[in-house]
Amino acid sequence: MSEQPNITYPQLITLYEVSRKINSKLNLPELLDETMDLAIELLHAEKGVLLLRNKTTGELEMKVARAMDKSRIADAVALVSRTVVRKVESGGQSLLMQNVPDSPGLNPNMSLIRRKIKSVICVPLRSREKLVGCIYLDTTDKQHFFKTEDLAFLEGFANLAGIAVENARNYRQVEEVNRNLESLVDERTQEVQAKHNELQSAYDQLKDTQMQLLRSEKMASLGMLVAGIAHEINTPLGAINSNTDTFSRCCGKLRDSIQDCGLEQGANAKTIDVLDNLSKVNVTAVERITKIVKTLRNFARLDEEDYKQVDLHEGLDTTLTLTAHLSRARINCVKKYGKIPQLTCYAGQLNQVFMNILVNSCQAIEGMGAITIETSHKDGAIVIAISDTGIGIAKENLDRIFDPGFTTKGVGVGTGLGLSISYRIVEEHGGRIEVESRIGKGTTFTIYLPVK
Amino acid sequence: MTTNSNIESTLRVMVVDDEEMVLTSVRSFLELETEYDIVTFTDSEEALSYVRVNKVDLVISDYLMPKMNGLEFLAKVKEVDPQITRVILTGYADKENAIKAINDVGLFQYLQKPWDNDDLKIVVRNGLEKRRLMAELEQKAGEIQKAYGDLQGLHREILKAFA
Repeated sequence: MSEQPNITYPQLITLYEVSRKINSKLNLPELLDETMDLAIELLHAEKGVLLLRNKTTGELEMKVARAMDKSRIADAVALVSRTVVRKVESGGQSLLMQNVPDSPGLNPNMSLIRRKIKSVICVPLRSREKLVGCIYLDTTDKQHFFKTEDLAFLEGFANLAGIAVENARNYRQVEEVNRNLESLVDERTQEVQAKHNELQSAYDQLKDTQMQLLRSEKMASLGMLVAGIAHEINTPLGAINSNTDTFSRCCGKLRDSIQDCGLEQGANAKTIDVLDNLSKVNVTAVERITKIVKTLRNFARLDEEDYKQVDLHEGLDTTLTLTAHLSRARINCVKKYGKIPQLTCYAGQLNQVFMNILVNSCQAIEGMGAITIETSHKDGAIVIAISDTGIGIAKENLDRIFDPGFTTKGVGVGTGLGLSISYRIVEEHGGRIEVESRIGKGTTFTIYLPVK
Repeated sequence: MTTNSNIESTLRVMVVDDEEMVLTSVRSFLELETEYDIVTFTDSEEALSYVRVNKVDLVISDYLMPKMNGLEFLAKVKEVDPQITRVILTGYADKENAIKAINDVGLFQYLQKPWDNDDLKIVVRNGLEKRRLMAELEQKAGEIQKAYGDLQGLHREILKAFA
């Protein structure tokens, strides 16, 4: 670039302007268009072509071909002199032919001659000392042929353009890397999300299993505890039970002897009446304790009974008959019995389960309502769904309804054992009970019993 | 002591339970309602010593006791005198074991805690009645045996007289 000192001050200012303009473009095609247009305009060329080296093929490829009026030239391939371009590419030097027709030793078949080009100029585009492309300009105008100072100016221009192209390319690369990174991050995020979901569901499952395990473990240890307590209570209970009866008998005997001896009745009789009355209260009290101990025993260890094949519909019907006094005239019992196989089970125990749930359902319905019993045979299990239109169970209680001793019924109404016994019975049959409830809408208990 | 004199003397009922309160309750009730002589023990070994030297007609024993359980105790009672009527008083938890063992030990009845006094009375009365009948049967059998012996003696004498 020995011609560089020939650049004039106004040209330098122009170059500064050019630098400002093209450096503001980061989009490569836009930059190339702008570069080409500026070059054509500044050198008064008729048309210009910008070629860039294809990184994979190593060839110089036409990127932009523009006409003076800033329009794109479609069929640009034929419009550039390959001879000129090759010369620039191989020599790495700029080339200027001021007067093509008068140049000596040119092949008359050359495209420049054929197209009546008057003047042509081609400068390399460099990036980090390497040739990455070139700018090619030509004109047929005999008035405006290119001059030596045009060459120096265009070289300066090309230097700036080379940097700008490099910048744009880098920017594009960074953008591409960013895009890749973004999609990679997206991909990874999705993977992580999927893994998270998997983990979450595994965790939920684990928690569920743990809850069930805890529940059945709790039941088992509680069962042993309860059995022990029932046994311990039994002996003193036996004594009280017997004594209460003996008390009453004593009162009878005393009354008789007073009469036999012809003693003054009054005060003595009154004392005996007090004893007798208290004795009667004791009888009721002992009966209640006995009943509770029996329930505890039922809970602790299921009384052995016949393991036999039965039709559960019969059991449901029997239970419905037994609970009829609770539902009569206010609750409509709807039976939706499906086709179910016979089940080998402890029928009495399962009836107890139906009974517990049905009694709860009846108690949950204040005033008029309906209970629906639906049976079906699904996935190797008999499914019995008992739904009521009752008051529903509060969310905070729903997790606890199978806990032994938990009750929302008043003192003396419920023992809080009914559902935990039911849970145990169904569990002993290899099945499970699920509950769904909505306040004010009702509750559904669903019993699953596998058919072996 | 012969069987005969046993029946005529006062009938004696023994109650064994490691819980004093059960003994007091059963004793109070039986003494109020019957004329039997009631003896009670909290210790099964002491009870066994008593049976060895005294006349006892019926034994009611708890099932779960320290030292030996009710069935073991009653089996030993049987060894001493198989004619004593044996009754077991069980809690819920050991009911099945007790029932299974009834045939092995040859129990007359089992009672379940908490027991019903009327049931208890009936079991005791029937148990003693069985005991009396068995004793009577034995006595009659003895009499028959004796009569048969007498008869054979006579037979021999007759044969001898005609020989």
